[in-house]
Order: sequence, then structure tokens, then C-alpha cells
Amino acid sequence: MAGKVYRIRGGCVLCETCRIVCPVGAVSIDVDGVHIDPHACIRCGKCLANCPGEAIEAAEEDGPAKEMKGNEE
Amino acid sequence: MIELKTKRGKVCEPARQLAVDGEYDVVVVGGGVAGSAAGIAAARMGCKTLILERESAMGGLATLGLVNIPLDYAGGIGQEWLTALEEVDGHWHRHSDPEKHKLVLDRMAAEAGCAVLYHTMVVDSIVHKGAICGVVVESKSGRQAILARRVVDASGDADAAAFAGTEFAVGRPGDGYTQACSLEFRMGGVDFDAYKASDLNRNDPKWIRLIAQVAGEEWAHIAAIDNHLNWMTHLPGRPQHCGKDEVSLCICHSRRCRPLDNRDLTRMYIEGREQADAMWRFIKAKVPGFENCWLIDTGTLLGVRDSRRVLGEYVLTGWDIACRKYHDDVITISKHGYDIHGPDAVGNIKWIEAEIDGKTRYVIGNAAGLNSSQFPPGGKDVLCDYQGRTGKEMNFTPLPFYDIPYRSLLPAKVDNLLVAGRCLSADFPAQSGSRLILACTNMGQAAGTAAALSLACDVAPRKVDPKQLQRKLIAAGMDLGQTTRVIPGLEDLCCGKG
Repeated sequence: MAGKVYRIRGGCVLCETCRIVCPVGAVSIDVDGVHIDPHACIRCGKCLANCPGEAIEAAEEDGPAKEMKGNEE
Repeated sequence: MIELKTKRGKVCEPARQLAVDGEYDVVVVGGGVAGSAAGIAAARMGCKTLILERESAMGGLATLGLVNIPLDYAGGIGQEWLTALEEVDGHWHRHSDPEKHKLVLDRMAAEAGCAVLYHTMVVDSIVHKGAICGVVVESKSGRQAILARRVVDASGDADAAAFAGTEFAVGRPGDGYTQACSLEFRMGGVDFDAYKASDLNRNDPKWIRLIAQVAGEEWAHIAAIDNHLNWMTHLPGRPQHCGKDEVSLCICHSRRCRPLDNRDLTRMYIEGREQADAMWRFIKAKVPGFENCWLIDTGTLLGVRDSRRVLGEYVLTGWDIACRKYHDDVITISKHGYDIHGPDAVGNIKWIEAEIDGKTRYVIGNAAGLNSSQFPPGGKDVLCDYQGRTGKEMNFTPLPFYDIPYRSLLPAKVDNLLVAGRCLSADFPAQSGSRLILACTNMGQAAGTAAALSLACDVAPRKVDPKQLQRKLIAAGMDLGQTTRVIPGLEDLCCGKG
């Protein structure tokens, strides 16, 4: 899906709210931080709207998304 | 008035008769997020319901404690109040407005037909033949009895359950210290946009490096309070993005806490206000965007994370969280892993010690456990999942959440009594994960619904059919994880694969 991609822009504290609110299970968290699968993501904006750290951004980007990393402390 | 008469150094209080202030189907002790949800749920099912709240408003820590960060699964009544807050510009990025939240809960209770009494403290329980049948309260109106066919103890401290004679545990095994308690505070005059755009927020959002850097300087007393920022929320609906924003912070901590001791509670309020005073000056000096800030207030309610944990029909364990144990009688789900605010030292412990294949390992409940700020010997690298896997091998599938079972709300000994909120039946690490604002709300809704169902079916709460309860909860909009897995007996409502 071209257009906006949702990604972590910094400020993430691994609270996992994004994973809770994602209706399609596109958010995963591992040792490297939070990942939003650009292929599964439906751009509904729930993660962005609910992120307490405002750590998710919707960026204009065509083509393959960059790797999205949460912020390790 | 009582006549002074002492016996062995104690003052004798003569026996007396108490006026019965009312008789209810369901009495809910405590009007925090758990109690308000319990009361609203029971009243909606047609029960004559009363919430007894010792403070001046409902919402507990979410309102009076300034914990305006409703995290965990929103569904049912929790989602309703989030939506109601949104409608009055009182919710933004999971930051809630404590003042608007009070009003929303008042209105929701009134609409449900649920009665509320403020400034009313439960001081004893009335028990007959092993079943609770009311409580004794004290208020401006004096000492009175209130009778109830079912009681939901959502007091946080499990006061009514303890008075009724249930067994309970307090604090961590060994010394009984609870998690650190926090007095939250608010600051105004903050340029929130400047803070959000700062390198500090981007690269060190929990201020771990910032606090470590200043630990040896004049701000050493700050590093002794905690080694990181727990959370900071914007106050939604206030003048926003104008350099005059208001924020709420959780960073102050009192350690070695005995929150059931009046003197220690008093110590923590005084200490918390001193910490907030020191902390806002530090933040003003060191944090970008806070150059022109001021302290607005501290919470009127101390953030006590745990005290009594009732011994229930089931004790939710830390290991249940580690391995995501399914429970056929699930009444709510939570994703929050262990989060033990250091009982006697700075930092948060997000792991448990467990034996795997005969070896001592340090297990985290999910990847957020890597976010600890107090690590076991060997540091972050030794943290593992429940199968002992470390680093990139860690795997927390299949479920991203764990179940809280109905049995954890049922005290083992006393009938007609349910508990909800942070006093659920759980061990120390499991309770540390299942105490967030919305987890408590969800437990409250489940307990209130179960109380009403037990009356409708004319059975004791422990005899309520969990399947019938679960169907009620799902119909009321609650998330039991039914969309991602199959709950036995509810196959028709589940669309996940087992």
C-alpha cells in the first residue's frame, strides 16, 4: 500500500498501547522495539491517536517502508 | 459521646445499636475506577445499587490521584468513559482530564440509576453465617449500617473483605513491603511541543541518562527519588500547543511502604510533596520546554499500587503471566507484564525469578519487560521468556495478553462478596501487572455484572455460571480476547482460532 506509513519516531517507552488498539495485529514488539508491519497495517490511525508518548507518526512515503524501531532506553 | 472508661490501657466503647441507612441489592465499597464500573454495571442490570466512596469524587487514582493515563484494554464501561471524555475534549492520546473524568463518572452513575455516597468510609463489615450482608459506615451523618445482598469490595485495600474475615497477603514475600507509592503532580507553563521535539524526548524519553548524569551533582537528591520518568501526560482540553500547556508526571516515590499504616501513609504524603517540590525545580532547570514552568498541585490521593491481595478461589500468579495461561472463566484480559516499582530501591522490576530446567532464570512477561530499570545479576542480557529463550530468540506468541479469571475476584471464604481492582487474588508479581486503570475498570465491570447475575439467578457469586457471565460481559462491549482465540463454551462468539 503506497501513501502514508506509520512508524515509530522516537519517544517510545514500550507501553504496548499500540499493540492493544491495533485491530489487525500489525504491531509487534521484540528486543529491538516496536514494529508496525506496513503490509498488515490498514492506516486506521488508532495507534497514532492512542499512543501516550506521541511516538508514532504517519509519514508520507511511497515504496517499501523503512524498518521501524522503537526507542530503546 | 462516650464516657471515659479504660481497661488495660484501652478505652472501652460501649455496645450500641446502629441505624440502618438503607438496604440494597448491591453495595460497592470504593468508587475508584473499579468501584464506579461495578456500581454502574450492577445498576444497569436492575439492581438497587449504592457506591460508598470515602473521598469527594469517583475515579480514585484516575481523578484524585492525577493518574490520568488510562492504559490497558478499553472495552465496556472503560470505553464508554473514554468516549464520553472525548466528547468533552477530555481525552487525547490516552491522556485523560481528571476533572472532566469526575463529572463523566457522576453522570454515568446517575444515568444508570446507581446511588453514590461521598465522604463515607466503610469501617466494618456485617457478616452472617459466613456471608457478608452489609457494611458499617462513618460519615458526617455518624455511624450507620447499610445492608446489602451482595458486596463488591473495590476499596483497593480490600478493607471490607478484611473486615469480613477473608484471608489476604500484603506486599512482597519476606518483608511485606509493597511497591513504592507515588504522589503524582501537575506542572503548568510547559511548552509541550518544545519538549516533544527535544532530543531528550526523542532519545531518552524516560530520562534515564539525564538522571544518571546529574546524580553526582547538586541534583543527587533527584536521583535518589527515582532513576527514570515513569510517565508524563498532557492535560487534554487545556490550552494546547501554546507554550502554556499543563502536564502530569509520575516520578516521585516513597519506598519501604506500609500503606495500611496511618502513620506511614502520612509520611508518604509529606515526603511526596517534598519530592514534588524538589522535582519540579529540577525539571525546570534541566528539561527542554519547561523553562517557564510552575508546580500546580500534587494529587489529593496517594498512588498506592498494592496493599492487601485477597486470597481467592484462584491466585493469579506471575508464572501465569509469563506463559500467558488461558482461563476458561476469563472475565478480562490484560497485557501489562510485571511492573514492580522498587519496594526499597529506585527503578522498576519487570521480571521474576523462576526456575527453568533446574536453573534460576529471570523471566519477563513480554518484550516490555526489557524496559526494566532495575536488572537482575547479569543485566538485561539474561532476561528470558518463559521457555528460557533470550535475546532475539524470545517469543511471546501466541497471545499478546493474559487472562484474569473470575475466580480471582471471589474470596475463598466469605460468601456474597466479590473483589475488584488492585486487591484481586494474585501473587505479588502478578498483581503488579494487573493493576492499571483500565484493568481495574474491567474487573469492576465484571464484578458488578457477576453480583447482579448471582441475584438474578439466586445463587451465590461463586456459583454463577462463568459462561453466562462472559456472555453478559461481551454483550456489554468488553474484550475477553474473543476476537483472537476461542474461549471454551463461547465458540459462537469467538472468531479466533484456538
